Amino acid sequence: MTSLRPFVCNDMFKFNGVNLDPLTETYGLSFYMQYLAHWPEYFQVAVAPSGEIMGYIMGKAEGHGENWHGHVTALSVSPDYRRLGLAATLMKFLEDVSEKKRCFFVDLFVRVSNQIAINMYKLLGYIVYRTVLEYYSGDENAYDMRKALKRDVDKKSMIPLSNPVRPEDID
Amino acid sequence: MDNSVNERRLRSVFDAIDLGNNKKALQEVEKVLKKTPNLKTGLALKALALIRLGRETESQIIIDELEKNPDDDSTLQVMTYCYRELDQLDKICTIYSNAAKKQPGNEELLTQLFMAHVRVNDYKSQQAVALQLFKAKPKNPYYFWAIMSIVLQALRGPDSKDKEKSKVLLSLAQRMIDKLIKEDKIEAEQEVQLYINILEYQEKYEDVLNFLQTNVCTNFFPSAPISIKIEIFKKLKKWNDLMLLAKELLEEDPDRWDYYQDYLLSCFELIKTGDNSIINICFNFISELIKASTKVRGPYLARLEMFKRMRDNKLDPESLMGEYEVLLLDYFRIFGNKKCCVNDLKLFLEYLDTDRRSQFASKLLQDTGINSTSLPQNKDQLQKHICSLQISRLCGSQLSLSVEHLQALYSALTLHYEHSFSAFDKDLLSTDIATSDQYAILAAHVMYDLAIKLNSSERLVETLQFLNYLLRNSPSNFHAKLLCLQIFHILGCPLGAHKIYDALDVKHVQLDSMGYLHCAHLPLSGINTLSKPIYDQTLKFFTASYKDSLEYLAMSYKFGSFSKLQEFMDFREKLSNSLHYSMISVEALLQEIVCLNGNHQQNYLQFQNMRIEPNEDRIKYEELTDNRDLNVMLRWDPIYDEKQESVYDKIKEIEKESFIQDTELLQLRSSLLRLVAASVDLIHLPYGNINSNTKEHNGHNTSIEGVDENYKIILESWIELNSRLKKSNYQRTSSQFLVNLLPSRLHYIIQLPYDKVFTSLGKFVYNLWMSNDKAKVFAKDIQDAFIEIKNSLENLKPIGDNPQSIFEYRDIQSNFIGFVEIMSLCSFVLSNCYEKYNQNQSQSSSSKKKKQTSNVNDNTNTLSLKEKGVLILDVIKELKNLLSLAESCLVKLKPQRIEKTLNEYLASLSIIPKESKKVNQPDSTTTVLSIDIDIHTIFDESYHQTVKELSLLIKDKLKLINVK
Repeated sequence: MTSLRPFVCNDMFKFNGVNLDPLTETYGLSFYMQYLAHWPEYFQVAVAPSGEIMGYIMGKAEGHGENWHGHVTALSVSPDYRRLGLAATLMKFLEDVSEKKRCFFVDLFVRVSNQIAINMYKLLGYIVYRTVLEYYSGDENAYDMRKALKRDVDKKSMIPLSNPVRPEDID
Repeated sequence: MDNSVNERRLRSVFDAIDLGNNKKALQEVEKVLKKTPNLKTGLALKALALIRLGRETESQIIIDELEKNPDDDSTLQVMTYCYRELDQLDKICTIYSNAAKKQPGNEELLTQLFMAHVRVNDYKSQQAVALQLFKAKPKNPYYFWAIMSIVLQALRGPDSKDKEKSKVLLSLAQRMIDKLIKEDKIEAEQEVQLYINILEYQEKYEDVLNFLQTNVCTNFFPSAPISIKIEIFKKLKKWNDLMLLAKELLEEDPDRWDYYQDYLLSCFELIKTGDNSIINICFNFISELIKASTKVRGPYLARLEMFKRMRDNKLDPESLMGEYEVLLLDYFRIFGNKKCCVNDLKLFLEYLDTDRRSQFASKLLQDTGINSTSLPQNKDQLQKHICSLQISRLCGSQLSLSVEHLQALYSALTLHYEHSFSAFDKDLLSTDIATSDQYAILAAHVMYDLAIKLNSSERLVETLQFLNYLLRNSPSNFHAKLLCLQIFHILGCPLGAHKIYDALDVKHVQLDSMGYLHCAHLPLSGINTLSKPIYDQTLKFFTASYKDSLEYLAMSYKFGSFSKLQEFMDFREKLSNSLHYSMISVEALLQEIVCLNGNHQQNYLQFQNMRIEPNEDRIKYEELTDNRDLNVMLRWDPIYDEKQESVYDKIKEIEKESFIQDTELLQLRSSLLRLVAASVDLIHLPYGNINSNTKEHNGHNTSIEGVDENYKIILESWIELNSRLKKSNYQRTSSQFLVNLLPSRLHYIIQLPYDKVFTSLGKFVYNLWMSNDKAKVFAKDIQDAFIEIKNSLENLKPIGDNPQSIFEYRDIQSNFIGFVEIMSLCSFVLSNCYEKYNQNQSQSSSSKKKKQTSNVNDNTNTLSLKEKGVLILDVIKELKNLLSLAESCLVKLKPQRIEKTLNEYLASLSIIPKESKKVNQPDSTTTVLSIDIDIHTIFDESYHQTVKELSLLIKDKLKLINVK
């Protein structure tokens, strides 16, 4: 049971129920403001009937030609509102925006150890497109996961690469 | 000189600056300037390096010189950095404006000039520059920069208060876009968005609706959110349209609370117009969604919401939907296994009749199938049981429990925790929060109720033990950490609080929103080595954010995110007006003065470097904002108390009241700081009671008359403020529940003799300076005030091992720390008095004689230097005694011994602690540090740390005023 609305600056004063969780990082203001300034439509917050922040998604659209795609930068759900399908709701929102912006696909990075998240993204139709070596702090690898949108009729964006790439080689 | 040669030479300087190596940058740039002393970029870089090295005065000289004539791009850019760091944003406008005049039509310069105006909110100049830009380079973004600048003039500029002018401006902005639409020149989504906004500002809602249908809108803004339409329907009261739209949206997604509210709003508005058939339509629609849905909460909650609204509208919901209680119970049966069930039901409980609430709670409990002899068999049952317990608390069932019952409930909860953790949560990852934890959290709340009933701190120590046990098993549980933090502060254990605060990893904006939980209590801690880094971190966050966030205004123009501009501006204001920010700024300065630990001269120098300007209080009290995240701690406290008064209304009241009291506290602390600073400044000014022409006499710029007046104003306002606060009768806010805000520090401060001491000290300093023998009276007053402190210290009973009331230790410790602060501030002021008058006594005895002879006849009330010296010594002597006494009394703060170790405590709860269990770390690099604070010893450690630091502080003060 959710209300979705664009994330606003003032939400930063109230997102502690989400951000105190160890899997969610609290970044400096610039990080959030940069997304708000550049891709405001991609930054959404899910609010509970009580007004509490349940989770949020941050993303952007970038790339040229057939690489024009939506990207999920962060997806966080409060531990008190897990297992309600909220992540799926937020992902669907981001996919819809990307669809309307005529993107070819949506992609995201996830820690290879985060099996719960990986399974969830697979359920939502994402595949592991490639492995990015030592992408995270502590040198953990990332999966670059992708899902084709309508514009990519042949689902070309979803043909997995066989070799891993280094972070500096991601375009 | 060839430009490329210079560029190459300066590269190393740029590199050093980028790396933050300012010393190296300075050395490198000096080398370059030796060869080309007039190289402007070099000079600008030197200025920048100097600023960053804290040598602002030197840097300012260079900049003032450069300001006259910078023209090349890189010099301008470096100077922009300088001005930004010096907070002289208007100068950036000046230099770019001059440069742009020389090269009219230069796109880059004009863009920079536009951004410079953005930084100082000069919308009118923004508009002019944007139009110049558009003329030079007819690109759409520039045209829209101009339009946005006009909109801001209408909404925020000086003209915004004049309705007519504002209207004209908005209609101008609209016409400018209309023109583009007509010419088919719209290019981007943001342009369309801004157009819609402008229509909305003018309340032309019909026009928005029509525009949404146009090709321009659908082509360029295909992702236009449906919320625009919804809002317009509401504004236009198009209830039928809204109802149909919301219905359609809900059929697609039956779990959207916002759409339900829109749907219900429209239905009830239509009902109000007399169309009663809507009730059935509405109910049938929701019922269908319930039938169709597979366990989504949406339609069920909507049904409850509909019931509520029907009752509010004096319609008869029961005949349509049956009993409310049954609906609630239904909800619980379906969704009780979800963690959020309690939050959902909480919204609807107050509509349950008073006499039904506790009955309802027991029904829920029954429904879980768990009673005193059975335990949850699976995770669903576990969560349901927890939910029923939380609701039972919300329904007030725990309010009237006796001490024995509360104790039994606590024991039951701890045992449930132990059982469920072993049964269901043992294999969780360290990053997971265990379901069973909720028992322990609830237990902590229950134990606090018990502690309040018995007024015994011991129970809270037990709670800490248990929460600490939980954190061993479940190190990610921040709810438990927050409760520990709260309890440590209630019990006056700053070291424990600090350790748990560390584990919360509070940073960035959380320093503001969560500062009230820890940082704001630190002035009472007495452990300056703990508080100083947190003050520094907090202040750094605010100053850096204020500067950084400015760049995002510029960025919004670049990306055309016009919708965010006003939001960013409001956010910046909210940050800079944060009460917490002002409070910590003041506390940090007071702390710095208290902690000065050099000799007199070093202290005075350091004090001057603090640049306190006592004459103006720059805090805008009217505009202070409350940025606290007050819902970060969970609570299930009863919605109504024994008198059937709304507890949540009271909590809101406490939140409001605490903000008011903290604002008063801020005034008081700021006033104290300014009084102390003004006193010290005054001491170092030439004597006051010398007739006229003193100005040239000492080469000081400030007129003595002005000083005199200013000082009197500061002193008067301190006195007035204190007397007003004493009369105002502020009450300590209620501490009935565990997560209630702690009472404001104001109460400690006003009952300590700050008023008496600093009023008489202020007057004493003034009369010394005036050489008026009234100083004698005030010297006596100070001594009297000191005796009062002396008595308090002597009468302080050692804590010992007697049972304590909940806030007792915190109160005693805070008072003690207040005394030490008073003494420290006095030491600083008096050491200045002593040095000044004593020094002059020996050095300028000849000139003094002259003055004395000239004054002796016409003024019988003057005070000779020698007399001043004696008075100061008298006061200092008393202060010395007091400091020594305080030091010897520190031992009285020794806290009660904690009897039990954790294992012993757990054993008393019939829990056999597992061997310090190894927490499962996930296979990833995200690790959660386990927390293990030994409650058995932490109070003692905290005490030792406090004593260590206070006694060092006192010794420093004794050394400082060690005069004969």
